[in-house]
Amino acid sequence: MVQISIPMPVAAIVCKSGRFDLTDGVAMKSAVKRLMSEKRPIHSLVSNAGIIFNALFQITTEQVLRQQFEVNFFSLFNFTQSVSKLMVRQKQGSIVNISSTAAQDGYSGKSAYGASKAAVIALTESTAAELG
Amino acid sequence: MGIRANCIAPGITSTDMLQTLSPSIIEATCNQTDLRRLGSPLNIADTAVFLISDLASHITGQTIWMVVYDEPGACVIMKAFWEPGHHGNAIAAINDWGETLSYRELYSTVSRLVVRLQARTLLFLLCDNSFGSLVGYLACLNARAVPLMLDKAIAPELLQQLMERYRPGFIWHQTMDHTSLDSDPIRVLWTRS
Repeated sequence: MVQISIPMPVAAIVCKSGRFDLTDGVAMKSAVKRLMSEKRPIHSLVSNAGIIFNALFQITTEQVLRQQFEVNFFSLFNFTQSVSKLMVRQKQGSIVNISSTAAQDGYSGKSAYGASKAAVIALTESTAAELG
Repeated sequence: MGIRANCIAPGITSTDMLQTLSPSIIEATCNQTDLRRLGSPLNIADTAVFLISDLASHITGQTIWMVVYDEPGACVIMKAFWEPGHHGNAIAAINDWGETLSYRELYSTVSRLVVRLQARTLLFLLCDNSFGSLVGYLACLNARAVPLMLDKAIAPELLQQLMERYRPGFIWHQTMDHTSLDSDPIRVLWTRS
């Protein structure tokens, strides 16, 4: 009987959490600064935050539309932009954005949400082309 | 520059967002998907881990569609404030003649009225116990107009006095003919110039 010993990989994983309002530009910038001061490589960024408003197109207010884009798209855009600068410096990184099937499928009541999620896909494709 | 960027597009997922929906809608939506079940946040996390990892080192600029619906628009998660998570075909109201109004019909009629109303204007609602009063009132709330419910059989002299005093922006009048909902329920009889 042959015994095969497989060396177990040993990994030291340190988890730290930070918390800030994504729509608050100042808080976002200081969070990025904290990340930079850590002087550890950033391997990946997963943008998961999102909100949803359901309303028929004709009764969707501009305020709701802007709030929807503020969280689902603008904050993601700004945060990705800041973090990608660090990734470009280290010439390595992986960005994963969470969109939705609503971006493509045209569900009733999802004009604002679907548009914000479709914007995320377009942003991801351009980011991939520019930073690849 | 060595950076990869990818997208995950999940469908209906078991999160706190779903707590506002009725179980029947969630089930109906799940049954429209290829896998016939609700996605879990872990499914999304697993996919994210894959995309981040070196296993996906040659994948960039892609979108992973995690759920495929049988037909576009099949996912019914539409929910307005007056709609407690019902399917569009569910009955929203029954009138004195025993006719029914579905939620989908209610949305469309309310929406058609809402686009004509202006915010903060006074609207006189001359309605009886009909779909008209429901549609008019909901449209007012959605357009941020101010509704004033009046009996349809109000004395003309009193109506005249009220109109001179309050100068309403719109008057909403549902006709006697209850079948008019099928044709055009919107009758703004008089608009202040």
